[in-house]
Amino acid sequence: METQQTTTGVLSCGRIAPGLIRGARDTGSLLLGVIPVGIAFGIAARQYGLSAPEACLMSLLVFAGASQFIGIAMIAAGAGVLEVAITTFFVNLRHAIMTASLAIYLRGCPKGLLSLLAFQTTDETFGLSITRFASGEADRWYLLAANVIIYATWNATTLAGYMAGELLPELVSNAMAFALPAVFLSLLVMACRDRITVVVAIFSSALSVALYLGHVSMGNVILVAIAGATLGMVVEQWKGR
Amino acid sequence: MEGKIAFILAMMLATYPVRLAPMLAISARNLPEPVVRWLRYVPPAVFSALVFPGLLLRDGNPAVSPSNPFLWAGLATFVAAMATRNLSKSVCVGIVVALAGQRVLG
Repeated sequence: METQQTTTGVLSCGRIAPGLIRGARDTGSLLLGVIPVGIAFGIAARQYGLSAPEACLMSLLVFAGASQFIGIAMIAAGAGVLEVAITTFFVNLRHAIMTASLAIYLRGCPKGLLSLLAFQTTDETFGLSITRFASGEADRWYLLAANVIIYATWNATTLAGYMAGELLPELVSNAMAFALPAVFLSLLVMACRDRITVVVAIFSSALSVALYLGHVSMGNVILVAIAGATLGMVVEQWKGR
Repeated sequence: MEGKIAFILAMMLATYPVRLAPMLAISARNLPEPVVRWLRYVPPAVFSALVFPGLLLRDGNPAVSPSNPFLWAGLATFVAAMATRNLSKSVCVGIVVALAGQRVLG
């Protein structure tokens, strides 16, 4: 475990270009998932009464899909600033566990670069790069390339959706809504590297659905992450004995 | 406009530190080995939580039925991901089946 980390560290201190190129190439597969959601956000922002600069500013500064949708709906419903901020905090708490997972591969990174990588962390780029970090195929530049491309795409599609989103045929936009689940389902299949991870995946799926049925939707992901990872550890410990 | 800018800044303040603090804190030190191993089980758990409620539920109610096109699309994506281990290919398969499913079932 220690040697694996050191190797990743050494690799990531080396040349910049290979990581950037690999990251940019792999990010192509995320675009199908991000473009429709960005367009949908642009459309929704307009419907909820935001101006075009406000919609763009939110995508530029907040850059968090789900909480942006929730935010504009709450603003339109007359919620207060504090209420919106607290909801956003809880919706995005899952990102804390994602940046924590990424950080073990980013040892020795300068603070400036870490600040940028953290700002642009999303479910999608976390998912793509953590799988590659675990197999030693990614470094900090890989993550940077993925983040910058998704950030640019999210902002461009927010504006495009705001301006022209309603021109999209309904059948196409409905089917595109499946793109994001497809991304995470594929990443899940690839993350199931052994029997313990399969057990973690099945348990986490069941728990997450059960929580939704019990009307726990806020904080769902972070609760499931903590429970699922702990189960993985316990099973690993128990099998190792 | 001014009123909404306050909302946007508040949302940024509720988002960025959450992402930044763990990254700065954890990348700066050597974590105990069990914590590192624990963190490696986070991805499958997170992916599961992001996928299955959307596939199996509609508006908070169970939607496990042959008339749910996303269920068929999910099945196709799963098979494609197992077979190809390739993100782009399996996502494309999923979208095509979702599109076809909505045509037929919708």
